[in-house]
This record gives sequence, C-alpha cells and structure tokens, in this order.
Amino acid sequence: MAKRNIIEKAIDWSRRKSPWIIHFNAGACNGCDIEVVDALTPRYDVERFGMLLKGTPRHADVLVCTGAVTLQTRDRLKRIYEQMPEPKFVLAVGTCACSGGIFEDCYCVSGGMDTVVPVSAYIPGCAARPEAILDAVVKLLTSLEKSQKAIDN
Amino acid sequence: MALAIFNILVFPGFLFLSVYALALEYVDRKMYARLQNRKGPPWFQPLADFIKLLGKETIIPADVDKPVFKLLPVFTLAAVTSAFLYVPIWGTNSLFPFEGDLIVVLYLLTIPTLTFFLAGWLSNSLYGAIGSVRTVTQLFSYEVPLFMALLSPAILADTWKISGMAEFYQAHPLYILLNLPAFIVAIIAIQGKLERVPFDSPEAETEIVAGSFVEYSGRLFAIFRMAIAAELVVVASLAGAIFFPVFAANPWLGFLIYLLKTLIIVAILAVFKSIMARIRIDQMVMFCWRYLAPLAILQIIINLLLKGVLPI
Amino acid sequence: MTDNVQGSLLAKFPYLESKIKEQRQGRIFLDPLQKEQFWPVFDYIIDELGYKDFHMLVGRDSGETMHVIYLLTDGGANMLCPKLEVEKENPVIRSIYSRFSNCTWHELELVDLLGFVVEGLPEGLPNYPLPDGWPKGSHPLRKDWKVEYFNKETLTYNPPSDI
Repeated sequence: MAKRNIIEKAIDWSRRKSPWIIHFNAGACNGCDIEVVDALTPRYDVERFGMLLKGTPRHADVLVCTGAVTLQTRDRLKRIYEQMPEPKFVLAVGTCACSGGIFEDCYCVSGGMDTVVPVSAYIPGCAARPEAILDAVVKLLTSLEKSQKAIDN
Repeated sequence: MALAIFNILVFPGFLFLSVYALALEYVDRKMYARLQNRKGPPWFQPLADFIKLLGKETIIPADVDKPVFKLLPVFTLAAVTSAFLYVPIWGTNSLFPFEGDLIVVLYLLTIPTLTFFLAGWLSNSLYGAIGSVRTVTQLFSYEVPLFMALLSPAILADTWKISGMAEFYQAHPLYILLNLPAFIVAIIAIQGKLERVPFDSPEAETEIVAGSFVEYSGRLFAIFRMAIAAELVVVASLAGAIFFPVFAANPWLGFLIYLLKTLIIVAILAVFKSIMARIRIDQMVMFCWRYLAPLAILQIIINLLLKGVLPI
Repeated sequence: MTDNVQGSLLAKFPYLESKIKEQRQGRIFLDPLQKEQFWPVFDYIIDELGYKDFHMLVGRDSGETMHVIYLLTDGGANMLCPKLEVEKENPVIRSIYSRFSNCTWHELELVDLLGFVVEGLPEGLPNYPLPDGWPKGSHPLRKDWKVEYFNKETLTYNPPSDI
C-alpha cells in the first residue's frame, strides 16, 4: 500500500483527537450509567481528550453503551448503531455489557453487546469506575494511533 | 481589483474569518473549562473537530428535500462571511463601507437564524421541528431589542454607517457612556442571537436531542459549526466596534486593539455561559419583551432627546 | 414482643401449632396454609396484631404446589410472613387489592411470570413488562420452564416432546 499523503494523515490525527460520544442504556440497572455520567463531570474532565457528549447518534463517533442487552432493546440498539456515520467505535461499559453478567441466561436477556453490534473495547466492572472508563478510552485512541502509524511504516 | 479579491478571500475575508473563528471557539471553550476548575481542550481542538467532521460519512435522510438540505449550511456560511466584510477591523474603516451598511449587517445576521429554522423544519424529524420552532420564537423575542440597541448609538451619531459611527465616537469618546443601557441590552440579546446559554433552548441537548441539527452529519454539520463560530466573531466584532470606540491610526496597532476587544467580549460571554442555566422558551419571550425591549426603547428616547441638545 | 405475637396467634388459631417459625428477633414466618385457614389468619395479623404495612408478596413454584408469601411489617423492624398454598393445576387466589391498592405490580408478576389466576384485580391494568411478542401462556419463572428450550430470535417456546 502506498504511503498515505498529508491529508489522510491529518484526517487520522483529527479522528484520534476528537472522539464525540453518545451514551445509551440498553437495559442496565443504571449503576454503570451513573459512572458514565460521573466520568463526564469536571472532576475527570474528558474534554481535554476532545470528548464531547452529543445527543444524537448522527453527530457521534463512539457509542458508550451499558447494560445487558434485553430482547426489547435489541432492535433499538441496532438502530442507533446504524444511525451513526462511519467511522465508529463501540465501548461496552460494565460486566453486563461485556458478557451479560449475572443476567446471562435470563429469559429476556440476549447476552452481552457483541451479540448485537461489534464492540471495540470492553470495560469490565460492576460498576466500572470512571477511571476505568477513561483508561479504556485512552487505550482505544492509542491503539488507533498505533495502527495508523503501522500502516505508514 | 486584485487587492479586493485578496481582501475578500484571505484577509480580512474568508481565510482570516475561519482561522479566527476556530481561535475564538478555543478561547470560549478554554475559559468555560477553567471557570469549572478543569483543564480544557488543547489549542487545536476546534481544528480537530472540523477536520474530523469533514472526514465523516455524510448521511442524508431518505425523504428530505435533498438540494435544499445540502445548500443550507452553505447559505449560512455565505451570509456570515458577507457580514464580516462590513465590520471595521484594523481601524475605523471596514473593507467596503457605504451609508446604511449597519442595517445590511444586521439583516445578513438574521439569515443564519432562518437557515437554522429551515434545517430543522426540513429534517423530517420531531426533534428538528421543535428546535426550529424554538429558534424562530427566540428570533421574535431578541430581535427587536437587539436592533434597537445597535441602532440607538447610530441615532446619536447621525449616520447609518458603521465606520461613520466609529469615527464619531472616537472623536467624542464620552458620549459612549450615554449608550450604557444599549450596551447592557446588546450583551444580553447577543447571547440569544448566538443561541448560547442561557438562551440555548433551540439546541437543548438534554431535551430535544440536537434541535435543528439532529439529522445533519459529516461535511454539512462541519460547515454549520464553522458558520456558528464565525457568527460569534462577526457579532463580537460588531459589538466591539460600536460600544468600545478605541481605534488607532496605525493599522497594526488597530488590529491588535481589535483582537483585544473581541477577546474581552468573548470572555464576558464565557462567564455568562458558566454561571447561568438554560431558561425556558416562554421565560425567554417574557424576559425579552418585559425588560429588554423597554430598556432599549428608553435608550432610543434618551438618544433622540440628547441629539438635539448636545454639541456635536 | 415476638412471644406476645406467637402467644396470641396460637391462642386464636390452634391449628397453627408447630407452624410458626421464628428465624431471629423480629422475623416470624408461618408455614404454608390452605386458603380456608389462610385468610382468617391474614386478616387477624393485619387488624388485631398491628402489622398494617404491606411490604411485598413473592410467588414460588414448589413442584406439585405453588406458594404465595406475603411480607407484612408493623411500620418498625418486625416482619410477619404468612404463606398461602395452592395446587399447581388450579392456581386461583384472591387479590388483596381491596386492602392494599399498591399490590398490582406484584400480583401481575404472579399472573404473567408464574401462571397464577388472581381474582379481584381492577380492569385495565397492563401486562407485566415482558418483551413485545412474548408467547401467551409461557411462564418463565416456573421450574419446568427452561431457557434452553426458548428461542430468543423467534420468541417461541419449544420443549422436547418427552417432557
């Protein structure tokens, strides 16, 4: 593959530096949701990474989703994921979103998030701490940087 | 002719406006962050946002009016850029001054509000419709006080030319203190024009998902954001030229003074953004018509009476 | 306090002999009763003994029979829990809606998830919130309802025929 030119490098750099998030609750108990909105407060300050909380999936790059995916929210989650423009990433916050957690074989739960949408990063924990959520975001962005640099070399 | 093209495209036209818009957006976000006792975004953040949005997929809903949908952001940016050509930047003269250009600038600044309304209305979405109706309701509230507040210094100066007003107030600097009510009204109504907190119910994220821009993504949304940031520059420059009549004959010094004036106004707006909450749309209408409009009318009456009395 | 409760219950209802279990201070459970014996005890506990607050009710599938456990408190830290027993083939119980109007969600859970028939609930109540398109007559909290036989894609329950 040919070395990428300056415009593509600029676009890759801007995607790393400006991840806008949208938060969705797919059947969670709200414990991880409280931690997610806690991570967005001035104490943890996600705006220094360029993250903004957006209301609509059409403006967002990263879908931060909590909760074991119930049969009722399966279609809704899929629809929100499809409304996001490419390129997009998904973070599964909390043990229930990673694998279904203690609700795994429940009669109305379809499991973790990867039964519905492709997941980029898994954040275990019940509830996942805000520091863990930020750590996962930084690791996602750093791995993006590494893969972009690997394409260059 | 070549100089005119250079002025329109580079300085102080399109390129300077874009760069300064990103810089003022950074200043606004950084001040807002520091007032919340946190580090804010780095200096390149608005540029990164803009480039990222340009590189995203542009999704256009299936049953909207496609040509209008795609042209609306361009109209907004065009209107705001045209308005910037008539605002004095490095001295008392703007690029193409003519008698009446104050009125033209004010009308050009109404076009973004109408395009926001159309963008939400044509988006074929419930949230867009609510946001667009709120935009127009807000327009009916703040527009009369804002126009009266910006036109009353012109009445005292006996000219409709922004450059003429600037020269008048530079010659008689104490007369600007007579326009203090107009300044108060203007600073408050500017935040309604720019749809900033506390008047940002058209784009109330927690209520109506993104207001008028709910279906815009990618390149179109990037141009809308650039137009919004440029609107901040134009309005701040206009307010600075009218209410802070400090100019210099040397163009470099005058440019530095211009930068200082716009930074002061953006700092005042950032402080308002940090300390206030959003007010409801009916509270906004009541507030503007009960308090701002009478204050602006009072200012016009004062200026009309003083015009016959004061030595000019 | 609890000795007083046991004493007064035994005095009024002699068939409760050896059916009152005190787990610890302030927690008294009664063994399951048939409905002719149950409702007088229930009314007595609420009216005479002062356990006037309805905390919750829980349904249980116990093989051949099904139980409903009512948790009643006296506004303080003491709980007294009578249990009602019905046959699994004919699980009809009387609602306590006339006494406690906040029992609707608990009894809807009994109806939709365990298969009870509750008489006396008001009209117009919604179903218990199960996913859209849930098959009627499928009660997931019963012991013989296995999640392996439930197809989550098509929302159908297909037990193998030898069960």
